[in-house]
Amino acid sequence: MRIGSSILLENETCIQSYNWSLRRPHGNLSNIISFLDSYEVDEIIITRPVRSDDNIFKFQKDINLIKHLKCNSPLCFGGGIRDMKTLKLLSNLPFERLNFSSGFINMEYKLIEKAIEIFGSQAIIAVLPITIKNENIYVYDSRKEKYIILTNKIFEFVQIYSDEILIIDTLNEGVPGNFNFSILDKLNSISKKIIISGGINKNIINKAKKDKRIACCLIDNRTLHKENYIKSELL
Amino acid sequence: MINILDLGYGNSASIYITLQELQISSQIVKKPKELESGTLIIPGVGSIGMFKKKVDDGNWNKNIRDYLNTGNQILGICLGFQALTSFSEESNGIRCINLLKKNILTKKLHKTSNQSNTGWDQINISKNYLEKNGWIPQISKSKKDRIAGRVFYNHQYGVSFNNKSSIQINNLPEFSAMITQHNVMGVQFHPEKSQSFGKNFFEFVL
Repeated sequence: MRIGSSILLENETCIQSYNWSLRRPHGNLSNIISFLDSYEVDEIIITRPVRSDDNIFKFQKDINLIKHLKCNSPLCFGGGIRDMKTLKLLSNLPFERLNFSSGFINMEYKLIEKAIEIFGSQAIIAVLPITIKNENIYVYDSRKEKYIILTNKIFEFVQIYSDEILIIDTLNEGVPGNFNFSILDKLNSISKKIIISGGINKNIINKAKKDKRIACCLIDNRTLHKENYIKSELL
Repeated sequence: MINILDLGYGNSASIYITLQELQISSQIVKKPKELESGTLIIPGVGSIGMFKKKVDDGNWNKNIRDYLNTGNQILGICLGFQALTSFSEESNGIRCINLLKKNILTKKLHKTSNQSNTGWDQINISKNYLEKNGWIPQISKSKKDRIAGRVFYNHQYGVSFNNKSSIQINNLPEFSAMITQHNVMGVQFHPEKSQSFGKNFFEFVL
């Protein structure tokens, strides 16, 4: 099982996020990547936690930062890839994989199929920010800025088109040790490899190692970047 | 000179940055006329269908063959490795560049599922293996007799081959992690994303 790190990039700055709502500045992307690269983490996933107000100009600015990254670790990027225009801006950048959230939740066949055509199906990760309410599974649709029921139809689409599925426990994001494994119990028909994020710590990793469906645990920025956080502040 | 093929997508920039860090003289080439003698790296992120289209559009097929036939080397990485085989099952079946001997095929890793091989695995490469298979490093920055370490894989298709010119993927022994045949080398893993070992690899084989 891989152990990686999740980085949130908002308006050209990395941020920490707690419980899918509270956000704090975290530091400079290239510094953070440089530290994680020197730690030799198994993989790094950079996500733009964008909502309905995202636009191509903001997207381009963040992409320009990524273009200049020096990183010898596996990199995945996503957040705001919502149409062919944004997809085309991703050529020749230093990542191997892409993650899509609202593209999957809104079942955008054309967008996902085009991404597969360009990057290959091994490169596509579906991101499902999930919470459980009244025994139902809800997934956060960032374009609509609200939770919607994770229907069988969406889940089937995700399973057909993704290579791996990143499940974020939104309620426990930034709260180490609290990842809610009952999310996985409720998604027991899952046939793809899973990446889990939100509330990951050593105990969760040890538990995850016993679950063969889990390919990777992503430690959210609070834990892995503690050392880097101090450094960034000094800079 | 190390030439890194840029077909307008993929991750040639990652390889270029890594080689710069290692102070290995390299350039990104977008057109065949920009090629300089030495080694051509064919990077690999994408699908074989898109790759082949870009190769055909850029008239690279003949130029890669000519480059090889005039004493230069080719290093294919991941999809760039698969492109060196004769045929790939990906993208509904694609005829590839076919630079490796023995009619080697690229096949789906798992017949009944689309599960990829994504993650880290160990590899061990000796100087003896390179020499026996006719590969002569051009820059030769490494004085080591052997390198070993972990490498990063991300693929749903693989090069199905097993003989003395091939080192197998540990958890998928039907498939090659690396093939060396004289001045053609292919690796299924991503050295540019394999951290310290990846850098050792470039210094060892280039």
